[in-house]
Amino acid sequence: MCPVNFPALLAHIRAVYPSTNIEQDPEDPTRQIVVPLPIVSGKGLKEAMEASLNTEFFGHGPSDSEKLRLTEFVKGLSARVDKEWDQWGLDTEAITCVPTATSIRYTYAGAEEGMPEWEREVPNDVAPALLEVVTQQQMRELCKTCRHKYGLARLEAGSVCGALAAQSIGEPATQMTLKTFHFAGVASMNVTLGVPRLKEIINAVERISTPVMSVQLLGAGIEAARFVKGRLERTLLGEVCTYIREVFDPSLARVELQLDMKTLASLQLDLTSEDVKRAILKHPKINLKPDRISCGRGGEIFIGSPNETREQLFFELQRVKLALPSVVVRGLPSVSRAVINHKTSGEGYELLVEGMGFLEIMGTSGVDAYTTITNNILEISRVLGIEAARQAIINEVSKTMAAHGMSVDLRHFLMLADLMTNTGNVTGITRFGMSKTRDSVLQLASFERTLDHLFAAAYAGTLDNISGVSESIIMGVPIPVGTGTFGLMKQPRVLKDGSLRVPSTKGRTTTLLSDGGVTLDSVWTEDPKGMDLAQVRALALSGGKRAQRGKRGKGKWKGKGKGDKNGKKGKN
Amino acid sequence: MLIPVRCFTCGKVVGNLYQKYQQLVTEEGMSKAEALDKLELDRYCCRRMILTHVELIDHLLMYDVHSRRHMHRQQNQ
Amino acid sequence: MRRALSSGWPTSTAPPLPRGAHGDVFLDGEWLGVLPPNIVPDNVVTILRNLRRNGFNIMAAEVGDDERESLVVDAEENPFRELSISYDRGLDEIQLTTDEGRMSRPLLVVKQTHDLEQNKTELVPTLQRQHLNEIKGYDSAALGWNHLMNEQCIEYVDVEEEETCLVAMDIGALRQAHFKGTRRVKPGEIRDPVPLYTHCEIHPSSVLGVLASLVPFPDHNQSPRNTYQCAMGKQALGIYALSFHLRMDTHAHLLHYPQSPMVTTHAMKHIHFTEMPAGQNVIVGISCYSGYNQEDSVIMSQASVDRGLFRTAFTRCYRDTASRKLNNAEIFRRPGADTIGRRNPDLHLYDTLEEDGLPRIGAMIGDRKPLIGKLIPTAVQTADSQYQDDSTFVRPGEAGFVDRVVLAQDGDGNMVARVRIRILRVPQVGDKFSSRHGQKGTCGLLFTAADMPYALNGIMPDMVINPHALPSRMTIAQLMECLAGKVGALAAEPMDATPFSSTAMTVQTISSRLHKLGYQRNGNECLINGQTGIPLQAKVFMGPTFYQRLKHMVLDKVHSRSTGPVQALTRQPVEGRIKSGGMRMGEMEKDCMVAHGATSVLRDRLLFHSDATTMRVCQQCGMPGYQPNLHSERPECRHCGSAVLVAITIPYAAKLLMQELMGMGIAPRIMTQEPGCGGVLLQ
Repeated sequence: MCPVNFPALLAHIRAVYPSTNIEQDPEDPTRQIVVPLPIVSGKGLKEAMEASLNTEFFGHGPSDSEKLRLTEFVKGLSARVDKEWDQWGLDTEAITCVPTATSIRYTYAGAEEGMPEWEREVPNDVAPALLEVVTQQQMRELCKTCRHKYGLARLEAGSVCGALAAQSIGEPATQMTLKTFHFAGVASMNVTLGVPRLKEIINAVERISTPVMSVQLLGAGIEAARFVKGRLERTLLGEVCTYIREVFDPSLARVELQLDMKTLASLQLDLTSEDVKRAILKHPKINLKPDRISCGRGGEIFIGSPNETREQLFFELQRVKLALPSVVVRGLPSVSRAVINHKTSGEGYELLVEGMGFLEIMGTSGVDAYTTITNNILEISRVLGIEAARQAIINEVSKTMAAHGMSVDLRHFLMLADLMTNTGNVTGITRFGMSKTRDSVLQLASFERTLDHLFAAAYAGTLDNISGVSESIIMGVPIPVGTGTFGLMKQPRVLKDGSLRVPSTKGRTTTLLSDGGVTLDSVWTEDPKGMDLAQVRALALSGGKRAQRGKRGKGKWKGKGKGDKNGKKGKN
Repeated sequence: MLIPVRCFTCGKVVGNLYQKYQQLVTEEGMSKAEALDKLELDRYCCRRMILTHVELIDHLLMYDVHSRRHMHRQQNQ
Repeated sequence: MRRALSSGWPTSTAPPLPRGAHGDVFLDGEWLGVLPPNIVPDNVVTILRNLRRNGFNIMAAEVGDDERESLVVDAEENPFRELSISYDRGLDEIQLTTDEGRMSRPLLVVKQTHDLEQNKTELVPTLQRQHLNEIKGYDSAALGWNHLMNEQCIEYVDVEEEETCLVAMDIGALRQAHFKGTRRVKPGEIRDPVPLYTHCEIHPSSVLGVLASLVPFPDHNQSPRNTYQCAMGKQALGIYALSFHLRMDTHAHLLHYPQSPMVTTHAMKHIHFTEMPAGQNVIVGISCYSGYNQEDSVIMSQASVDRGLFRTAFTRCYRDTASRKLNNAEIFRRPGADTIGRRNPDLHLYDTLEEDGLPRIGAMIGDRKPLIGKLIPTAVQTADSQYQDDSTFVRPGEAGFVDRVVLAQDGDGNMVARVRIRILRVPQVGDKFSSRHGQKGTCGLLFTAADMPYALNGIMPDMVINPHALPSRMTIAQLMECLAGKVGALAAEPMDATPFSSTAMTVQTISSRLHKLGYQRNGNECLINGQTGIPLQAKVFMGPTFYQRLKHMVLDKVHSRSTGPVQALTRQPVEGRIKSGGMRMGEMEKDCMVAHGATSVLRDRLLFHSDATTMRVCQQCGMPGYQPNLHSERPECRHCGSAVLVAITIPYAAKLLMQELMGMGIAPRIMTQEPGCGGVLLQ
């Protein structure tokens, strides 16, 4: 994310600007000796950095967060320097020190602002061998280079960040080869990852293949986890019955089912016959009236035919019997599985829930609604809003990329997420989503479903302002991005024969002839000599208007005339 | 097809040595190494020129229809 | 054989099939019959195989021992030797095949011997030392082979049957085989334990096919590299047929000086690769030198190339037919001044042709020049224009020598002329080469001898390849080949690189031999920098390696176009090098330009260098109008009568789109006066 790699930069600076000087030996002019330059202390480093940041150079440019990064780095560096100095017994209050074989020369800042620096020398028998050495020059250059690199990282105005984002995400996607990874810790949960997942996110798919929610619990401990799991995980009637059978008898005809009380008890599902009866009544497919079901004492349930009369008795009972196993007696119908998982970060448990119904789960007691998340973008959009959805898109896409070891700058994801959510709804990058947000007929026609768009536009009489990339290319017009963000105007030139050359504003050159005629692909008026040179000149210099292309269907054009190609005349 | 005139690598003339080499190996029964040494091919670049050469010309000449017809005629006369 | 098999076959064929019938038997795909319930298909197969090996007549199967001798059929005459017998367990079918043209290969037969005393069962090949001694007595290899077949040491197994065989790689595997355990045997029943092997390869390297057998030390390479070589070997130039001189093939390549590889495989002998090789032994140095051999490119020595290294002839045959019609036939003739030529402005162009329209053999002929002169009758016959020129011209970019001319007649009696042009292809920058280990690369630069690094004894590399090609590809076999090649050249001995062979060399053995021959044991040499004269600090690994010249040559690919032919419909540049076409700037390429923000570049590529055109559009109603002749008539829009027509520059394809829409009844109006979209004048 950060354009500057600080440790690498420091290493480079240290290599380019040495911490020693080669000078003539004062004792022996023929020899050269190596003279160490003053080394800056931690305090000195911080001061130097402050000074740099306050200059105008730094003022316009790097944002606060970038300045913060530099500050953090320098803080770390000065801490290390100070630590070393302490180990060698050097005075950390000084600004710089020059350790020689015999003595150490310190420099101190002036007591107050504006006071000059002062020095003192201390005899020393142990020559410190310091590792973290930074000279003043190095520090200066560090800050300067850092600022320079930030400047390089700036995007120029007119940069096509959309295309850049698309390519920056798309290219690493071609390198993603593996499809599924193991979910952190839980071997049985296979979340879709890789290219298929990316496709799901970008297309804003409603029903994703592995919707998983990470449900956080309010209570600690395994019991709390089990409790919530019981509430969430759906249990079907078919899973808890010993039998479901039809009973025919001269006196009655009904469906009987026996709940497996032992299993229910061992699973700690506090399910009573009444609960089951309620669930059956709620089931949409089985339209039973309450008086039709009765419960026995040992978990038996007797269900009569939905019909009052004996009409279709056999078939109705059959229908009820077939529908019963899929009745949801417990948990949320949209939740197929809930797995208790040790939290990856920290202590405690969480539930990994496979299924939909985010809102319902948040509302379930025992669930911490504030921290529970899902990986289904559309659900987040519905429950938590469009901004949350935007953030979710960013999170999901970066997770997918990171899982394959690709690191793509966050900004591309920001672009993608913003594009998908700026209308207020999550619109996928499909032909369906795009047609919601685009106006240009030609652009949509050049993407998919060509004729559909053209015919619809012709019927409606749509006007296509050639303002986007695709339609500009089709019409041969310069695209309005990058170098095409602006038009260029130049000075008109008078040629030898008196004609006036008005050079291109966005591409075309007009020549106004001295006799008043205007050549080359320009307007041919009814009476070319009628306009004088000045008028034509004015017309040319007025800059004209950019072409727009419109489509009108049969019979929608106005004006009289000889009729269009189809031979129809006048208004149709 | 035919022995190249010079060693590709160093330029030593080898074109005139192939027949001699064949003679030394087949008739005089020398080993290939001895024959190459005798022909003063010291460097391995020159050695490989003779050693790995495939004299295809003899096979190709079988397909020289015109000359063979001529030879045939001559023989039959 | 078919008849013998299908008659007298003890199967239940009469309907209705008895209960419990199983094991359908097929002969060449035709259903013969079915086995009765009590017969086990495995046993049937075993019996059949034994019969096949013995060459017995089926009827004689029950003959006694003493009579057996006289009934022995020699392998040569044994018609059953090519019968394949396989039992498909899943489908419960016995398939017998006798088709011609099946691929089959010889394998050693392995039998089980049961030592009753030691109660040990062993797998043993039928082939024993005594057999090898016996075949020494035979005059020809074929007779010896037959003897082995007679002795049931070897049999031919086809693809179908091999699926049911368990083939050991070598005899050693047989010795180490453990039996998987016996099936429960009822008292009185004889059942063999499940054998681990039924056959054994004659030599382990025979598991490799023709192409793979060309790779030296393939067992020292990363497997995909061997695969790549198998594909590239098919692109290597050599001598494709000894009769090349007489053949008039459309394209053909010929290597001038093929060399047999220094380091070979056993199998190569059987493929005869060493007799018509497709490459040369090149003195290769592995070193970073100048940087022209980066990213899999190769530095070559100009001097070596001048002396004939990898020189190739490329041959192309042009053909034409002079059809013989009733009255006005086409004729092969050198067109004269009197013939109305589409393109014979300069009669001197036709000088290479002789009177009969065919060129002189040996003549040099440039590209785009007439090669076969032909005259065809003109569509309209007048007194002075009877024939016009329909000559065949040499392809652009291929100038060469006339190599051979053949005049013949086709089945319909028409005269057919075929002319072969021969072009010399000297190795050039861009031409592709490869070793036998999937290390392909193009020539990056041709260094003169002065610039090449050299050893003190005068050796310099013919080719310098970059060491970076080796670590990720792990093609150690190339390094071994180089080392072995050096030894081979110095000791003048054949170097055997057969895989899975106990006789093949190891790096240790090669290195010590090299050392004894007086060179550094790892193949490194001290080379001196040709350009500076200073010895290179690092030693360079150098030695002969067999390299192939592949058929991708830059001359066949280099292509450029500024303007040129356009398509009729879209007026966009045509496709294809031969048609002098353009390179397509596709959608993804356009995306890159967009991402750069290079608006003008995009417009330049997609409009001005492609199908830019001006179209008149009515300023009022926006309909594409007609183009008036501005000098003579006044403009008028056909739709609305306005007299103002604006000329716009749009891609021709866009104009085409508008017209197609108009054809469908849609009016695409180009409104040039709409306000609010500033900047461009009169677009």
